[in-house]
Amino acid sequence: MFDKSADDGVLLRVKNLVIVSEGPDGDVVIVDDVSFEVRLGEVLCIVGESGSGKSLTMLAVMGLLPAGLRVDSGSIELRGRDLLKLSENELRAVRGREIGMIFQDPMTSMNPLRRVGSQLAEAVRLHQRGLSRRDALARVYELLRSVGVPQPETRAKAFPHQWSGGMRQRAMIAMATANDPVLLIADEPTTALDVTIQSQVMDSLASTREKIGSAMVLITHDLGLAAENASRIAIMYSGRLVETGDVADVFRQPGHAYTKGLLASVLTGSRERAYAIPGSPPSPRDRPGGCAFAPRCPLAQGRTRCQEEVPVLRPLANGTLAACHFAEELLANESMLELSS
Amino acid sequence: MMDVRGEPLLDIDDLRVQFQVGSGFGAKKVVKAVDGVSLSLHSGQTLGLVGESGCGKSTLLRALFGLSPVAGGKITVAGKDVTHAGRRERRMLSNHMQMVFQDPYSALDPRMTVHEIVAEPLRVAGRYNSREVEELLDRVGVSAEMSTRRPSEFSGGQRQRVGIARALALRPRVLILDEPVSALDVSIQAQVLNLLGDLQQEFGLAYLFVSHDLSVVRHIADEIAVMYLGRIVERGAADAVFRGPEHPYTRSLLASAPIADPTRSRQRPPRTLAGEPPDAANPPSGCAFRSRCPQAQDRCAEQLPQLRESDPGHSRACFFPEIPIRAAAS
Repeated sequence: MFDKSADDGVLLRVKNLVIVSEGPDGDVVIVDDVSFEVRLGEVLCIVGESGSGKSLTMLAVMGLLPAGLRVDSGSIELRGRDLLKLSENELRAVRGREIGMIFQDPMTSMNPLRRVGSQLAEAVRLHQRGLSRRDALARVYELLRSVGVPQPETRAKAFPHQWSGGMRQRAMIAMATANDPVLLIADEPTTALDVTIQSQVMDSLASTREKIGSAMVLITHDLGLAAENASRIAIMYSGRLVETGDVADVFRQPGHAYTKGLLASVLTGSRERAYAIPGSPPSPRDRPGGCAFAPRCPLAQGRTRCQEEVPVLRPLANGTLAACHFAEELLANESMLELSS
Repeated sequence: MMDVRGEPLLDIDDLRVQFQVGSGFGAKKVVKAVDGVSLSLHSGQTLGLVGESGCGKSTLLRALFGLSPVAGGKITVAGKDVTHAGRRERRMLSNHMQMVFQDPYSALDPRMTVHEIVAEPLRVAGRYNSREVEELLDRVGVSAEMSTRRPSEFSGGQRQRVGIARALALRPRVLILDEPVSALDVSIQAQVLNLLGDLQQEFGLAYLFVSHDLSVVRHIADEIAVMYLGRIVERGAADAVFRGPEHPYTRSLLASAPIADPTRSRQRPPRTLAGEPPDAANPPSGCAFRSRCPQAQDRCAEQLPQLRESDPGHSRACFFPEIPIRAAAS
């Protein structure tokens, strides 16, 4: 069904990914049958609320699922190679060279007792063996300067806690892009930062990414960041992908009631009542049969099909793919949410 | 001049909070965490306090509850000076003013049931009444069957509802809300904000609403105060400040917030604010914002700009407020 060759413009292809949590009462499905693609050079935003499985999906891509969680089935192909079949050593090489990673708080991934410069130099040498310490440090200065860290020679002598959050995140970007990866994975890279610093870091991330021409998966809960940075967007809810498409299409006319509810919840300038999706997301253990969003969905009320049959992603007239049995009704009725809220 | 709304419920006048920091050797330094802040809050009104980390907004809140060293100024709650209140007075004060915290996960005692959590302040005050607690919980959207459960069984949004019920138990008139929806998901944020709006109307509550999220503040606040490095740099009606920000810092804040609309956000001009907030122990001379300000001039380093009114009710602390940020940069 899918073309095996890597030259169809697809860089990363995740197919039918299922991640389970191993518990005393058996496995619980956390990420359920997720499939998506990332094309060369594009920015895909994965948007979802806490517990939606957006971070776990990308941790699985990197082979970094925490203990107690495992990929149960599916495949993850990077340039045609199934990452799930690689050894830990091979994966480590992929992570350093082909995939660069940026996490929310780089502080936790640094040794607080060692100077920043020597830690970064060590990371550079891991993937460029044979580089002398001095050359590695020179490379670190160059990288830091490229992401807008002023006076890197002085700052490199400081300890991690002496770096501001914004500067630490720039250092993270510099390191993640040091080996010109083809794919960057950024998981809530600016969530811990203030808004003026967030915009600086996002600008730095965008210009660095453009320079090396890599694709990026940006994981965020912030629809504003998604709108500003993504070319395509994927919305997750309760471990499943519920809608995906070009960012302009999804924002203009969403094809899934959850997407529509999320967009309506974004606070605008008006002081009127905010739209709120009723209820809250289920925990994976209590995920209802059929569509996981059905208990909160205005379209599903009184409909057994929503309760019984898990909807699959399908193309819609608005240009997006959405997993909803009755998406056409949503597209036809623009005021669906006002009726239900 | 007599205010038509009468006495403010909360009045902060020229408040100063200072910390001494020692660096091992040499003279100790004084950090002016809050430096001459004046704010007032009336019944039924929401004042949004906006600022980035380190601007002193948390220190200011702590001062209201006697938890920061007040070096000067005055805090009045319901007409009573509580700047240096003792234990007994603080207990009385809790009948007037309560706090809702950012993190609904750590603010609730995990060993207590939700009913006990809301009942606790009433017990301490010696007027516990089981039915009243249940009514309160019901009012914030926690059902009777849920009230015997512990916080660990609740989602973030439900926990914040419990936190609000607890804060309301003693029927205060002022709620201090410290980033109350920042830890919540987008779809839940709106639920909690709507609840806060309803409760305000019902009980005539006054809110001091602290947040770094401009869209949240814009949604809920009547008035806005913007804080930078311990001082208020702009203050005014929410609409006026958002539509016509006059301080360059306020303008930068508004320009930095991402817009959830791909057709608009792609066209917006590049953001201009460079650099990071200065160290509060070593602030620039004159205006603290001048080290990042695209329109700073010599005078800004020499003198400290005071809050001045431009329109009735709208003031800003800037010598050159009329220069738009983009014109100054080019």
